[in-house]
Amino acid sequence: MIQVSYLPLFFRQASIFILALGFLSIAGFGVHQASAQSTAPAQELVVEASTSLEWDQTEGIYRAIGDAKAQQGSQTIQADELTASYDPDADGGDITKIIGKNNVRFVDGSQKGQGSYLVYDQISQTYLLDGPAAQVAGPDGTASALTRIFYDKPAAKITLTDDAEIILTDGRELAANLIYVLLDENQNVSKIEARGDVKVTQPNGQTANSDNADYDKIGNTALFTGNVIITEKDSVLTGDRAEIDFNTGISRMLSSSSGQRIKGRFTTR
Amino acid sequence: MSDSQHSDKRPRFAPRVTQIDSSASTRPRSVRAQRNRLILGASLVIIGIAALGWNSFLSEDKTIEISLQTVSKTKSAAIEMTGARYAGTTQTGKQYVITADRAVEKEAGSGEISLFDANGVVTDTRNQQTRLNAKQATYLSSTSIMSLSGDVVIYQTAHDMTLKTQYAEADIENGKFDVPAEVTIQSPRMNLIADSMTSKDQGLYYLFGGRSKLTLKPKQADTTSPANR
Repeated sequence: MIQVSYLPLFFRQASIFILALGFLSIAGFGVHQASAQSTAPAQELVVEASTSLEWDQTEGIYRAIGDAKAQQGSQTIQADELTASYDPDADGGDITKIIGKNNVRFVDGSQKGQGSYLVYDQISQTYLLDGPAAQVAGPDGTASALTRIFYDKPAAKITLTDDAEIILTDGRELAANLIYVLLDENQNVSKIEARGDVKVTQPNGQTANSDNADYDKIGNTALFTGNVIITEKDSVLTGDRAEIDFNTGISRMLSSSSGQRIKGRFTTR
Repeated sequence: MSDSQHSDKRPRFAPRVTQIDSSASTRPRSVRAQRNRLILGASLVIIGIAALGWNSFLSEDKTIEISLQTVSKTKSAAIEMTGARYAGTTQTGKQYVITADRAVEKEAGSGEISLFDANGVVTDTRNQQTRLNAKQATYLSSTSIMSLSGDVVIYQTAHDMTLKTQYAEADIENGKFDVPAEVTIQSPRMNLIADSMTSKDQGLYYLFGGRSKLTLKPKQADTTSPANR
């Protein structure tokens, strides 16, 4: 015969099943379904990890650990750890920022970068890459900086801070305290602005030192200003302004507005 | 299992009785009495839930429907029930229906009960549902952990989102949900696959273990979600 006294227990237990459902309902694992930022054309964002993937809906973050990779179209960010964040209170939960820690690499079209720490702002579409050994590479060469590299994609501008260095594919090297690289629509270098302790080294051994330098890729010329010293083998030109035409290899020391004299020491063999 | 089901018609919420263990108590009770006990049982359910701190989920003044096809006691002292159906409305207005082809309590007072071919549906006030299916759901009251196994599927109509796995554990008391097996989550906005999953803070925090892959789809692709229809 039925043991009626068991029924309350059964239904108390059955209620736990309901609680589990309720829990899952509350859990609402899709409460904040983050999506890729709605750039045109919108593309899906894929986040992968080999160790773990954390989703904190209170903080509004996804944290991928271990060979972490985030990919959206031609953009890829990889690191030991990636954190993608969104506004948990905003509708849609679009990803607004991706932070990479340790062994960071990114690819965006023809631009590549690496460093120890990266902040990618999805809204402004900018990359902030910290050293040591922060480096970006494009079709025209590689650029590195001791402290940080800032790549402003909409502005097509890369800023290299502290002990900045650029090595172009044709062998020319540029070093300075601060370097701005301006890109054209194809992400090729269009202009380079170097500030502080500028040094340009050409494959033929010619060097140019100055306080500042501005390189125009279209004309393939560079204007050096402030304490300019051009050295080729044992010949030395000094002045306040100089122009180098990389097409012809001719260096011209120009008179400065301050009237500073041009000095030259030439050695013949 | 029942081998001598009664075929006589009973009130909707009264279980049909099967006698397997001849040593079991045979004190007769009327259908009305049984029904009263069920109502009492339902009240105890409320008390039990309140004790667990979930008193916001169920309400004492809401209707709870309970029905069974058979209830029997085996020689091993397990209590078996078939055609279990449990339905009601929560304090927050959510309607729920739990069904199981078979329910087994390991032994009286053991605190361990298993539901076989279990299905559950919670419908909120906006008519959105969370549906759960599993081949087996086992709850152990001593640990407050419910284990779900075998083709576990949780579906949320609001986000058109489905979680699938072969095994999951819900820690009711601590509000944790663990999936120590491969898990997939799919919706029009998201695809996720991971080797395991842990959830806490009532589902606000998830940790997917092992190799994990999350695909977040752009907004304009979200045209099939029922929420957007």
